[in-house]
Amino acid sequence: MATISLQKLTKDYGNHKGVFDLDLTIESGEFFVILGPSGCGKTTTLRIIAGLETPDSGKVFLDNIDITDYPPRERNMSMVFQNYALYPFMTVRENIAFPLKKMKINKTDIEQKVEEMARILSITDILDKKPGQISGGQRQRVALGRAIVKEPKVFLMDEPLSNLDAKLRVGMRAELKRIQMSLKTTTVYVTHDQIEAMTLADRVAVLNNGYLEQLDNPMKVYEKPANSFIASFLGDPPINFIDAELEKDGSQAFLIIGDSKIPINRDPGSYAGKKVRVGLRPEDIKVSSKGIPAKLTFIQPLGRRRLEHFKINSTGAEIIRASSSDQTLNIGDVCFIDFNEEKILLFDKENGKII
Amino acid sequence: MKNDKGKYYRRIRMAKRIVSHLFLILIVIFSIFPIYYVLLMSLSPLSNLSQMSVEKLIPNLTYLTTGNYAAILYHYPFLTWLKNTLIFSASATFFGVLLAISSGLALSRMNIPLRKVILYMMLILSLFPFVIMVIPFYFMFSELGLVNSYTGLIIAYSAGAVIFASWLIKNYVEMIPKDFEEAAQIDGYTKTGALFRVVLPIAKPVVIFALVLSFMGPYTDYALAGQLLTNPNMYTMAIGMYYVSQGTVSMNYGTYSAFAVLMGIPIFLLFFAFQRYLVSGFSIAMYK
Repeated sequence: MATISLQKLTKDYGNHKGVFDLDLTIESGEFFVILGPSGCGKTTTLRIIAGLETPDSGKVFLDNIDITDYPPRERNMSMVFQNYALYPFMTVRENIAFPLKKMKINKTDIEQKVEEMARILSITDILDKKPGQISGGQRQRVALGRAIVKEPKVFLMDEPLSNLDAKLRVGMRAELKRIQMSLKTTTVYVTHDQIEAMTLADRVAVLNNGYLEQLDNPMKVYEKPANSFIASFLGDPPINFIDAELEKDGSQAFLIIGDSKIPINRDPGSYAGKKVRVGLRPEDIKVSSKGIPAKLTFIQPLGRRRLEHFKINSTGAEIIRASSSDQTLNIGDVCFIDFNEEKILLFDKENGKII
Repeated sequence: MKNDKGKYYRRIRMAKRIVSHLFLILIVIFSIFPIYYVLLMSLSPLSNLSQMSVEKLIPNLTYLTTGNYAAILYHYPFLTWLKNTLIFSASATFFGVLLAISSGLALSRMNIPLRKVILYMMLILSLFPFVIMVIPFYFMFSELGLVNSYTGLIIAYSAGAVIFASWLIKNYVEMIPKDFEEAAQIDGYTKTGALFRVVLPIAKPVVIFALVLSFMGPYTDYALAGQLLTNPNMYTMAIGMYYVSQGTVSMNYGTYSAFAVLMGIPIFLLFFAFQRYLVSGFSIAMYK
């Protein structure tokens, strides 16, 4: 159990790469996900926590002790790398035992711990094989085993599932969450995959261009993204953005999309008469007898669900709706698309901030 | 209906296969012939080349003799020369590659000052043939009293080995992802510890390649040994070979060939033992 605290952390690689002025506290026992596109600084942050990088300025605390200048070996953390970094010349058994060798544990205890780890991860039958002789999924388990076996204060994971095929990834995701919940070890997990962030995280920090954009529990981030970048980053299929205008007519506010005028129960405040971006989740769109006229142009069947692509008649904008497969609409049909007004997100057209 | 087009392409494929096999057989003959010729010469009683003819390329059993081998083994201190050569080669390999491992790892993984300058220096130095250093070495070593000593030649050979071996190891280590040593650092090792404990074992193929090549240099060297060694008890095989095959009128090619065969056996065994690593080693050497 350990709390990690980052204070004013900066590492500048030039060209806006790195992390800037990052303040974060990761609570003890928390599954903390750092999410962002490639080059956003998430791996840099993880490597600074691990001690593999030294920040230009700022501090890293572990349980209130300043560890900024500690070498990696003094931090009592383990790390799972994206390509696992299993030592190719060692057997699986030696790989898992490797971190224990520096811990002054006697041989029989090491042997016992390795066997137990293998049992938990169901890799007993491959203990005497080399990493080159086992499958990707098994390698992943071995990497996890090597990280868990030394019972560190903190797990650090750098996109550990990204090299697995889709089916295996779903299984390992669940397993990872299960293991973390039973061990209650503070975990920092870096990913660019929003689904991993949504499913695994107790809290998620969204990074973009080296800056922290939002920090909250994943559902909150999904429902109330701080800006249009985060809104677009979370959700699959991604959120629809439609250009619109806010208008105030007496005490009633309206949203003008093309030639449709939709009443909304929000106070536009200073945005009255201004252009905005409307964010609309595909699952929040309804087909109704009133609303914005649009034409169904394309359907992607996904089994139980399907994605319907609509083109709004008046603006030509394209939006995607996620619906159940029992819909009767066909390509070419013209209908009205409607939405629950409470679910829509409005963003400033200039800076992307939520209104 | 007959499929003429299919038949046509089948024929083309067959023709291509025949041509490529013929070509390969030709290359094999071309590379094996010198070895065969040396073997044949070493077993024949001919004392000079003028007695050689095309029909004698086919061995006649009644005619072959091991006399050349017996002469070398019983009339000359062959085993002393072999011992000297092995001392020089093994020591130079040991010291050269030991240094090359440290410098190769440092050049590829550590932030050392003047890294670029050192790399360029190494590259430039490796462009000069070893032979041109014979005279400077001779003057230097005679000043230092290192002529006719094991130490002198071992220093010279080690220095020759360390340049290209460092270069090879540096290039190979640069291809190894840093994740391995970082994982080892997190698992309790220092940066240097991680390099030796994790990166070096991964680089084993190139280290073995460097070992074999470093061994070959001193083993076959004539130029430097010929200048720095004047005491016959210190002779290496390359000098011994010249000494033995020197006839009164002309070169004794039978003895010369027999010596070449004897000298080649350890190298042959070495290559045979490390074949697996040499193939990957050569491809790395070609790669960069």
